[in-house]
Amino acid sequence: MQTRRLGIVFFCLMFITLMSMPMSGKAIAGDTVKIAFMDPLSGPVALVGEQVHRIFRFCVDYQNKRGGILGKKIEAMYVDTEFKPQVAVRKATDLILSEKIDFIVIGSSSNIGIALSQVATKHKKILVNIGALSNVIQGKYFSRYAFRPLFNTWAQGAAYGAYFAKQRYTKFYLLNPDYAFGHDFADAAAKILTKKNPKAKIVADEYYQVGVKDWGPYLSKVKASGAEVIISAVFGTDTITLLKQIKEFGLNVKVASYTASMPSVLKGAGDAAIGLIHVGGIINTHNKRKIRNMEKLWHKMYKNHSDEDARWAYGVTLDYINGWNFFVAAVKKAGSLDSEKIINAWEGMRFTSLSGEKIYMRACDHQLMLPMFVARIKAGRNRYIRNAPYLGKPYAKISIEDTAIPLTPDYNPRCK
Amino acid sequence: MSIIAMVSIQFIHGIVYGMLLFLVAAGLTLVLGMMNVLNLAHGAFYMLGAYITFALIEGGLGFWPALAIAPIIVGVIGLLIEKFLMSRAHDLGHFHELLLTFGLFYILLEITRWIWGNVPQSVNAPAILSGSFYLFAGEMYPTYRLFVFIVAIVILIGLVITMNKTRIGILIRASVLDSEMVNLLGVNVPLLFLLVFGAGAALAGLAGVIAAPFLCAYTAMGMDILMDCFAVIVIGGFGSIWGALIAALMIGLVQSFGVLLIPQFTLVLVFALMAAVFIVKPRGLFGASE
Repeated sequence: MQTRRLGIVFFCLMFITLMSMPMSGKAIAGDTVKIAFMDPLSGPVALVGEQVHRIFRFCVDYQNKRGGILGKKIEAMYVDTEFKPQVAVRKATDLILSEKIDFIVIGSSSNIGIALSQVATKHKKILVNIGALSNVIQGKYFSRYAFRPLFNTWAQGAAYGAYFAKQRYTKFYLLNPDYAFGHDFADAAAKILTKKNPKAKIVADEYYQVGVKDWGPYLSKVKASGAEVIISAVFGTDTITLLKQIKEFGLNVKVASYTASMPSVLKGAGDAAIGLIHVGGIINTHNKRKIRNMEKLWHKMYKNHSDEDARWAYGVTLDYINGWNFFVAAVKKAGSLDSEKIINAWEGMRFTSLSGEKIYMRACDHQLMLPMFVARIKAGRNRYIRNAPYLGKPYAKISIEDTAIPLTPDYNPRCK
Repeated sequence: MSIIAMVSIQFIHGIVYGMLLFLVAAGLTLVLGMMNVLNLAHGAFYMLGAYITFALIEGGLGFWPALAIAPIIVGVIGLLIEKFLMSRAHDLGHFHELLLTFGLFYILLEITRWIWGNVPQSVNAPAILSGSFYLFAGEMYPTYRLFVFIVAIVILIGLVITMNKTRIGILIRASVLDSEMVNLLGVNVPLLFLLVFGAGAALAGLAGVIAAPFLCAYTAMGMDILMDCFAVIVIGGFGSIWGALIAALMIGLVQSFGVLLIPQFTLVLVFALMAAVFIVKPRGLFGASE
């Protein structure tokens, strides 16, 4: 009997212990920083989202290995926004209310950035946008809880404008995807270019529907216009077909497009990509210690990835990571997870970027200010992928003054 | 560049793209006319053609062997699909067939992604076709585009001769009119179906080979072309080869002149054309009336 009673007591103890485990799990959770990483994993831009989620995972892994944030480990929640603002809003609200998350981080999709800014305002949670580019997120749809530690579309267009204003070319053809992003990009490029070089002429400001198969009709117009440079925010497969068909027609124009540094594009377009002009905030070929280190860490994590594009930190990847680092530094400076304290700390905060540049968070619109770099695609051996040209070292720097979106009440009433 | 030269160049662009479109749509319209199935997997066959070309060229075979082999491989895949999947769905009605081909489209797409990844794969034209030739008034034109045009013409002639002058063509046309009657007359209609489906797939594969150097092999290409093909079928009329040809050329021209005159509305123009044809001839330009 005695042993049996002991058995029952033992069983009860076990039961209580087991029951209380989720409780103790919660107790541990209290010592973590809960961050919801939100980006589409399904829907039309799932491929972009997958890439962004890889960056998220890298950032979390990187930070946790360095002791987390304020000495607490990051507890990451990776959330699929399905590319639908209402889904993103619902999931974010749920996580804020039930999981008590501390931060929301997003990495693409400006429509979702705008929707989540409102959620951030409503629940007073910090939204860190390390990747959605549209100007209006920090402009017309500004939330004082939303920060963008990444350049915006204006900076990309303006960087091209400022760069070409100093070149000998005078005739420019703007050929961009027909949606908000393409228009914003072209607008910035044209304004800065013509302001800085009165001799520069925009011979065409044209927009195409994404998914062009035959560029022929556009290219005969380019030829007829006598343009020397095509400035374009073309991306994805469109970039490859555009570059290949320009070469096919033997057209003698310079192409300026920042998405062409992607390995898939370089491999796809091959020799046709040589000479192309790229701009970016942090460029992977920049010979800086921090960049090389970050690249190594990235490769260590993803070297066996099935997707060739994922194995090295190219394109905007380092810009995202740079933004993440800035965010972590801001929380550290605030010394707290409290939203108001972080806003105070981050507004106007200065930081040294991965490329060793002095960058800062502009106070009035929470927009990162950083210089942009220009690099060129060159013929020769690509150290990342076989049989492809490579992105050269950055050879020109566009200052913050030239890439900063002008402060007008029109852009953001908070800025004067 | 003079206006005349500009207009002629845009005209040629339109014709060449129209012919490429015809190459893809020909197989689709063949299957549609014969079997009354809008085969959505056709887009996937086209994509497979391009990827197989890429794989064959990477594997050391040149473009020319790929031009022969890739359509055969895709054709065989088509045969197997008809033999083991589609033939079971024919009795269940069009809706099942449509759903099946829709599912097949995604299965083939995912398999392609699994094998080749999401990265677009570039295919280079053979050296003999990669240059340009002298067109007129100092205008050069890429040789490969002339090649696209010639292949499409060859396929067109082949299809017309097969359909009109050969016994199998006569049987196919008879089956289009009344497949039960043809079956009663002792013709193996399921076998005929099998051959037509395989030929349709092989044509899509061939279009994929032709398109690969022109564009590149990428996973969204099937869905992209399917939209245009659908417009071709609607405008040209269900199952008509000539209809498909005229419609494909019309779409090509509308797109290239659209870019010249009103670039913002190019996409709209194709659908406006579709709507216009719907209003004037609801069954398409060459569609048979009831």
